[in-house]
Amino acid sequence: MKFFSRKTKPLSKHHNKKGKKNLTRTEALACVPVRSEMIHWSMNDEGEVLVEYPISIKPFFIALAKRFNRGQEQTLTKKLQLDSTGSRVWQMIDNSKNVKSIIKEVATETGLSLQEAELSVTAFFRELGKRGVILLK
Amino acid sequence: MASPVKEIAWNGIELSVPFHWETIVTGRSGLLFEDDFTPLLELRWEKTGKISKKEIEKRGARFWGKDAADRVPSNILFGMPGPPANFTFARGYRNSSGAPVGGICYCKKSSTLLVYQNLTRQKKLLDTMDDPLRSLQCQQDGPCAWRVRDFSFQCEANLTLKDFTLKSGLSRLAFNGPGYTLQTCILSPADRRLEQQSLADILTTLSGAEYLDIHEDINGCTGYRRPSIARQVRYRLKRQQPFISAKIWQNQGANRLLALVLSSKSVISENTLRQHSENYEILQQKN
Repeated sequence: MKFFSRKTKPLSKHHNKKGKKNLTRTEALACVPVRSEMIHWSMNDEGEVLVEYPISIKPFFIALAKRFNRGQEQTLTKKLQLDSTGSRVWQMIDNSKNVKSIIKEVATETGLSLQEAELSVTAFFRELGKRGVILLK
Repeated sequence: MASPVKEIAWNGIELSVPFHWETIVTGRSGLLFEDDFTPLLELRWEKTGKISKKEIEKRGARFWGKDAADRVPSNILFGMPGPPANFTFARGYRNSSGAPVGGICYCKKSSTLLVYQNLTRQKKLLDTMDDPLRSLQCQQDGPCAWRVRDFSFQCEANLTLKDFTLKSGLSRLAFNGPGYTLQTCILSPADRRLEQQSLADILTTLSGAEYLDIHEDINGCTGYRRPSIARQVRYRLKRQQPFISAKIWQNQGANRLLALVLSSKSVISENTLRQHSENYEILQQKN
């Protein structure tokens, strides 16, 4: 019965549902985006980037796939084609630039205001982060 | 030499801020100013009608709560000798360590109650707030200005803001006017958008109409929908406004597309669209 009597810590407004601390805007802007080591990427002649990243599947489906592939285990991947702006931002990820400096660079290159650039870049990084393509250090 | 400033106007409030400050619209009656991603100053206001000094102070105390236990005299606000511009009453607030945290102002003529909040504790940045706060004023009678991001729009005071979208590459404001609704829209970058769609197609999409009678000239595209009586009834049954007047044009220097869409239950005069388009422009960028 110990399990039911266990007290759980109440979540503060700075914590998400998993209990992990959410980053503030200032902290998030100071983070350095890093490409995941699990991915492969290539660039075509037009300078557009194609990212291939592994997808996470539940163990049941992995076992099912293994059975159909006669015991051979294979990593399932997905491909993500970035447009010209996305590819340009991708090239800016160099393990040293933080999100803030990337936003400033994008704003200068595209003629967008800092606010507009921030909206675009953070949304782009959020999408890449969800897919496990980049990590924030 | 004085540093360059830009004029900001939003929903009845006007002020001049340093050119490098970034203005973020936080709501229908809210603005936030940042310098290099550091939040500096937040403004929030509302039309309250006539209220007493006691009520203003009560609201101020409620807003600041425990943060500002001590109040400074009403004649000292960030070094200002009195309330800013046309505000008739002002009260400043400091936190327990004596640093100014903000204040509350009231404009009797426009019945606007405004709260400003200082979001930085750096002395150097605090000093830069004096001039913007001194320039703060309420728009009263006469035309109403909307000047944020890179655009400026001036309209009669009888237009009220319905909703707005300020996203990357899209700035859209919707107003309720006398007998019509107006939408202003800026799309960017124009060259990329025109690679995918023509001006006429974009205008039709923005207006939300299935069909528009479009006239193209060197200044842009103008589209109208003036349905027959039978069709008017059909649109009304669908709770749509039957009459539409819309215009789209390109500002090549700024690489932006500007559009206006007017919709109404009755015939829209051509002058209305023309007048609004004359008062809608892209602001010149200073280097």
